[in-house]
Amino acid sequence: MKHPYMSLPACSFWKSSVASLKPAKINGLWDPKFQILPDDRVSTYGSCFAQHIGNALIKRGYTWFRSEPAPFGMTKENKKKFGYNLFSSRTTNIYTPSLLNQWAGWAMDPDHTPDEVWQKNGRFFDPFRPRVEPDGFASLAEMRSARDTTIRAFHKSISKARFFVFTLGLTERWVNSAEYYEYSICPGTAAGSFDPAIHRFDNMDYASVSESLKSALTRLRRINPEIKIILTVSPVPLIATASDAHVLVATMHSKSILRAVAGQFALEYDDVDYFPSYEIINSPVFKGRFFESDQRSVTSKGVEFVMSSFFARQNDKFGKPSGKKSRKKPNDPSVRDDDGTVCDEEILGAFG
Amino acid sequence: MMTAPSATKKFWGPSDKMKRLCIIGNSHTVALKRGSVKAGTGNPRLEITFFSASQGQTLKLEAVNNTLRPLPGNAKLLREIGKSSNGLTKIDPEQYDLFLVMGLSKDVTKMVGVMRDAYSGAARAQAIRDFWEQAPLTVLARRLVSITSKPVYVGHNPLVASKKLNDQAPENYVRFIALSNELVFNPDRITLLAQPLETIVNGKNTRVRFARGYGQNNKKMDGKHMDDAFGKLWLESMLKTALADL
Repeated sequence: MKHPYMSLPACSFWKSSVASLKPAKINGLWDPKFQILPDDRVSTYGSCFAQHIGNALIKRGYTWFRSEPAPFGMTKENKKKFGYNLFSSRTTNIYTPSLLNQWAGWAMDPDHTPDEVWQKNGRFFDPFRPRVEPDGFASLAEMRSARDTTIRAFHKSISKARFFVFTLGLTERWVNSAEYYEYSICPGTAAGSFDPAIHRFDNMDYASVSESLKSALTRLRRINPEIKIILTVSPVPLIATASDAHVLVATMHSKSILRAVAGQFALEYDDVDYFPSYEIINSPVFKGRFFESDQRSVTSKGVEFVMSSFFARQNDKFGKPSGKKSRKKPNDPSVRDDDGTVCDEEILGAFG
Repeated sequence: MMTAPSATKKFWGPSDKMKRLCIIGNSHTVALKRGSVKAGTGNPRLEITFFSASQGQTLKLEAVNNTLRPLPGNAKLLREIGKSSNGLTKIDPEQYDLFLVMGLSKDVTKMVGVMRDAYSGAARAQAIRDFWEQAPLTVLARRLVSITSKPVYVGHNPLVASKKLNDQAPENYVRFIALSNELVFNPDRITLLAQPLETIVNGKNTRVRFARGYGQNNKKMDGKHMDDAFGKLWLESMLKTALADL
């Protein structure tokens, strides 16, 4: 008697595609919707894990689009310290879909950004990226000017890119309950001071994650109707939770929601794809081998495995792109190399 | 030994005593040497000694026994500096009144962009520090300062030559030089000199007519090395500052 499972491919069966294989041989985890060509500009944003994607693109001859280049002459270490070359523009980490939505809103309407500023020892800190200047800005005007520069660069990284890769990191967030905007990190940790009357914790549920992401993507499409979106979920566990749950449970709760929403968007929208970096690192099949001893930080081997899977599947499906990437001027910031990550969330570790 | 152009007389300091200038550097010293020759040999009160070598070799001049000299066995460097200095084998600070280290610093043209408003003051300062800390020019000048308390000046590679495209005043370039001095050079008793502002176009390029080979054959034009007219202007500008300081 025939049944639907009889005609399914090997990858549909655990035994043939997982249990009978060595972990390193497990493949076909992603069926990409879009072919990325070496000359296609790819913008990247999101949580800490997203910082690896840009460098992986460069390493393989693809175009990581950086619309806010670092000042010439800076060392790689200092570029990271000043928030350059981590993402396509100097937004620092965008952990939640609602924060992405907030940045997209500013990109469309740059004249209406919040006035809030944090001060310490005569220096000025941007509440939406408090660590972007290691010692803060010299003046309020400089802080605002720098933010305006980043907002323009963020807009450009959407309008001039072909692909927008966004790594969802958290559902937990801190909002200003009076003004209804979101911080990138809890006030009082990296800078600023915590005011329980204004600063409110919120753990987004499925509906609010979905709604925020939908709004963000609508804004991205308005800026660039041709842009294709690739969603991923960071496999990196929460460093701390402000919920009542144990941090391990809170992590699974948060990641499960993000994973579910990302998958749903990939199913619903032709211009959205989902790449399973979360599964590749977190699946029990890999026995945690891609984590450092703290069981949180992803090893360089793990990052390499994820990114190799990404490009291998691109090549499997579309063939290796023919021809080399057109040469750009050596001083074009989009072809400069860099490595390493900087994670705002690490600050929370010091308060844990 | 070369004598400087007579035009330098007007920049002469209060003392009419002979001044001895030592110029150390790579291929960019050539324009200075030719510039001084072009200007004539009429000023007997300035004596210039050149120590020129390829960049890789120049950086091998080490501070030993209060002199800068090639390490034993480096016949190539010994030959190169000997050739440019009329047979000297070492730079003895006692023999000179002031020093200029020239060249050894590519990409200064790109650094002018660091002064744009897009960058914060702290990011700009960090980029300038990082840039100069990695430049061979800074390394060599610091070695020199370690063995003498006499004035040490440095001159960067000429800004890359260009036609007039988007001409603007060289304000950012001037600010870049000032900030470089404030953050990096002056604390080490070194002075970074700007190239003459009249040689600059587009706010960040050398006027193309100063490029070596300009007007002869475009294929032979070298936009990174300048001609003797540039060298003459550069030297005059330097002496205007340096001799007045003495």
